[in-house]
Amino acid sequence: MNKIVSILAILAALLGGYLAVAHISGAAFATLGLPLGGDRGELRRTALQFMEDVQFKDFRKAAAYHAPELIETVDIPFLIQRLFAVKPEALDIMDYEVVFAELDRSGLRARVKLRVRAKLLLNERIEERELILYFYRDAESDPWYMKLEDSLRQLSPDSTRIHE
Amino acid sequence: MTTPVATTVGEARPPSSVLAARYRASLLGEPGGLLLLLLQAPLIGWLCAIVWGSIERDTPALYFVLCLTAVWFGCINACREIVKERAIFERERLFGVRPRDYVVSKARVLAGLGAVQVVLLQGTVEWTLSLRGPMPLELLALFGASLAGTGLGLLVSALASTQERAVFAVPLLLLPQILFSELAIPDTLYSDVVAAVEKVMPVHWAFRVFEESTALEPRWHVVAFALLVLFAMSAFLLAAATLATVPKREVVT
Repeated sequence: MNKIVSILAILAALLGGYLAVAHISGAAFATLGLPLGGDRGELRRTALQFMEDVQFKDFRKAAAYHAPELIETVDIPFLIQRLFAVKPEALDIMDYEVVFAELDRSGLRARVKLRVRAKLLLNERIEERELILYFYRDAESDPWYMKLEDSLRQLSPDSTRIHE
Repeated sequence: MTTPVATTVGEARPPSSVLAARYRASLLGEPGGLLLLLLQAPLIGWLCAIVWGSIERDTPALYFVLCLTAVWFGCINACREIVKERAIFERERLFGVRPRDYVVSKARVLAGLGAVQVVLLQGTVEWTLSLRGPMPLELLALFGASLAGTGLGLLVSALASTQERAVFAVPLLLLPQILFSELAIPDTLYSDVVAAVEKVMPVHWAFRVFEESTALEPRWHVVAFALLVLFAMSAFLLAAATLATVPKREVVT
């Protein structure tokens, strides 16, 4: 009986230790569905939810991670096409994972790097892409908003600056 | 050093369990040394995280370093463990302790230590930079590498006449792991001899697991085969360490 109690106590301590590490690491390890990891954990979860929406071609929901005033203007399919150089309907996102999530010193800007493995359906080729999603918020009590437009935007020359 | 482990009359425990309990107690009796062994894992993991964190991505070289480190942990943990107690073992052999039980008891405890080390090693890297591929599988590969390293270390320890010689032999075992690898020259340029020698290197098989499980299209049967070879290699090395312990040795204490 004592042995069983000891084993259960050790298992509970190991689980508690693991969850503590998962929280302190910003959910770098699986959190078993618990909302651990603070801001970095939240950003990781948001990034993964966004990728799941894109994987299932729910572009309306994928746009919802932006600031409310931008939601209607975000063209997710266009941005995806720019990233993978194929139309979204010719793309099968197979899996994705967060490489890291980090906040700046102010705690108001963040970026999440993702690794995406996708099959290009036209030629059956599997490719891997790395993608960085940028997030911001106005105050620490505010929710995080995605800046996907900035993340995937094609750079165009600024006409007000010299490029020589 | 040799903390006796009390067993009640009638409680039939296999001899290797009793020896393992005693060895575990002796390790726990030196918390400083044990802590040092454990701390080297997050330290090396942290150094890896600094290097590969600067490019914000993992590369095959990182996988190789992790595999090599795991073999090194096993080797360094085990290389002194038989030779330093040889006099005690020779005396206890007179009372019926068998070489197999003795080596198995060492391997059991060192395997546990190696498991903790590889979890700390990979955990520290994953904290900063998520590696490609399934983490449990990679942990299994690192554990297999550590176990093979333990087998190598115990074999060296059983053959060495002094602790110093055993420690000096460790670099001689680890350097070929690097030389006969893709880190030295691309595998397309291997001669037949190099290709054959590479196949007996534990690091090679652990690295294969990483290489395949992180590929765009993993071949899981290759992963399974590499793991199988790694654990078979560990069993072979432990058997060799047992055989090397069989000849009786005069030990001056």
